[in-house]
Amino acid sequence: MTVKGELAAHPTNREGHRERARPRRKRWSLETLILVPILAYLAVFYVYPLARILLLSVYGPRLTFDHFLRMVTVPVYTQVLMRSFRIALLVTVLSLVLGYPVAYLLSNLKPRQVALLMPVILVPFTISVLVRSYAWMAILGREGLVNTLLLGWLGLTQQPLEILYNEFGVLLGMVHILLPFFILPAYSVMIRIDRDLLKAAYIMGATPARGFLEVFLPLSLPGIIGGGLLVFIQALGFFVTPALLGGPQDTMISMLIELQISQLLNWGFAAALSSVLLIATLGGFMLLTRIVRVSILWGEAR
Amino acid sequence: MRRRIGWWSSGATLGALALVAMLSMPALAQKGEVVIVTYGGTAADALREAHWKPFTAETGIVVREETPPTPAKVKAMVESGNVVWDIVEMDLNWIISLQKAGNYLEKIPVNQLPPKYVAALDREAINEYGIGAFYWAWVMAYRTDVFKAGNRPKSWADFWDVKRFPGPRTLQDSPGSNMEFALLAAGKKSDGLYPLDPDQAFKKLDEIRPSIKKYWDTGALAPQLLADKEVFLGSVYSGRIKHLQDQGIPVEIEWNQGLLNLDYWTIVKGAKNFNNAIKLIGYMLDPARQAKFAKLIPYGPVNKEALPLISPEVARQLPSYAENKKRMILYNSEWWGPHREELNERWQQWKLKTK
Repeated sequence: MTVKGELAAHPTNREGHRERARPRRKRWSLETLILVPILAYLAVFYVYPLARILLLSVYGPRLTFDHFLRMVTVPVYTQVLMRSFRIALLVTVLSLVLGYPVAYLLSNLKPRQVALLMPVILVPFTISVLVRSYAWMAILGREGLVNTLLLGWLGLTQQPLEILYNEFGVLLGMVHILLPFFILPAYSVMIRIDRDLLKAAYIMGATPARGFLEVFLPLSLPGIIGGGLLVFIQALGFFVTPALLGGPQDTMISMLIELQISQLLNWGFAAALSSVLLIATLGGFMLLTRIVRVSILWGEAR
Repeated sequence: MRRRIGWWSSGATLGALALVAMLSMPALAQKGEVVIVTYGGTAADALREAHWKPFTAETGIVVREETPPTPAKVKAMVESGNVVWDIVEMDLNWIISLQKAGNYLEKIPVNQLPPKYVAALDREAINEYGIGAFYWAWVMAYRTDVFKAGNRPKSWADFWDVKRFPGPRTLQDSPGSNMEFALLAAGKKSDGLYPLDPDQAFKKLDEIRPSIKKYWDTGALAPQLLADKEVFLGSVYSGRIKHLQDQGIPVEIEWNQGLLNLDYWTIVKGAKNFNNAIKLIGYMLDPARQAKFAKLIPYGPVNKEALPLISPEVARQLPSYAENKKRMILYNSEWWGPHREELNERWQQWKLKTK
């Protein structure tokens, strides 16, 4: 019941029957005051630079849409954009498939067991993405750990497996890095799910599978969507891991942006590419809001 | 009591501050400093040993090091009016890109450099916006345990010959150098290479595509791929191979048909320590010190008088060693200047194709 209680106290709740929230109005001024620093920070370091980038994409010495025209007429940019979306989507799905059971398991454990297992998920966080990607190179290479084991010791394969410098390597490396971003939000939603609801379902004759599918899974949806979004948005802009572990065709849009910014110095075009990435991401988010109520992201139960 | 302690401690602090200020003032205010930006690593170690340490010892000017140089940062610094770099190492491509995008580099006042050094410089080492730092080259390197003596790739035509020299390969993730190598493999003569024929080059690149395992982006990746035996041969920066050989990794350089290029010392527009920068650039042109630098790392000196000071064993590993230099082709940045953006686009497009 704690979940409902929290929700009721939430001042931005739009649901009409939760009028109880009203008496708290007085605290708004204080809350606004507390928000000032972070809003100022966002305005200066986020909104303003973003606006500058958007402006840069259409305003070179003068107003121009050449950059966007080039992006549409030269196929490489849309192709790479599509590839980036595909990779990001695959990484998200894999993170969901691998991360959901982990989060579920964690949410069913006692706090002491969780305290023991959480470091396993959190420690890799403290190691830089670059180092972890290089580690994968040592593991997946032709003469790396995996191939030495399979080829030399176990004799299971005749030739070294091609698992590095292709899409497989990219997916493995990216999922490894992004998995905690799925597990943690999913876990935080799952521990708040009232297990009495499951018991009620069982009492009413539901099988464990049905109880899970019709009670637990829908209630954990905010975690899935929140974690999935976090993974997807980060994956879309990934640079280091695909650059190191990918093959010739695994170009991500971030690499083309980097090329324009740091090598070719065409910042207008780089800004246009970034804007399209931004707009496409926002578009995806909007699409999502059509399918699910986004308010469940910030904790509103169904 | 408490007050007395307060007096004492603040007095002592003030005294200490004054002392520190007195000690550091002359060094900072009169001699000043100069900020130099290089790629760091072993090259910076060699530069520090050969040039920067004696420079500070002689002049009192402190050399502050930063890494790595990027033209984007130069552009951002100049545009924001906050220029914190003085000397920046870059190749001619970047000089051309920057000066095409605006005016981000200072003209080099050659007459302020020691005339006897300037007279001994190679012609290509003097540019309006830069003075040659050292030569480097794109060359072919291969595993000698895979390609045994008597059957080793000697040209880019051999590199393209996957029947005689089978195995995974690497090339740089850039149209520059690859197009030159493709055209050489297609039988173009060295002296008729430029202007490049992009259509022919990309057609030839199609042939080698299935054998390219990875396109390297940073200079460290190519030697890594060779060391891990991920590839058996590839294009590399010449200076990166000695380090592998020192570790006992069986790799060798083929200088034939290498692509010779050089890095320049440039000065950022509005550099705060312009005069010190000129002093340091002039200082680094000294032949004896350039020879010392080349002994520490196999990059070629730009001062012709430096080469005779280097023992033949060391000189053989340098791109500007006469025997090596005459077998190589000078990379033509002027041709690339107006073509870079378009050909980079085409390169990215080409890379996406599967077969």
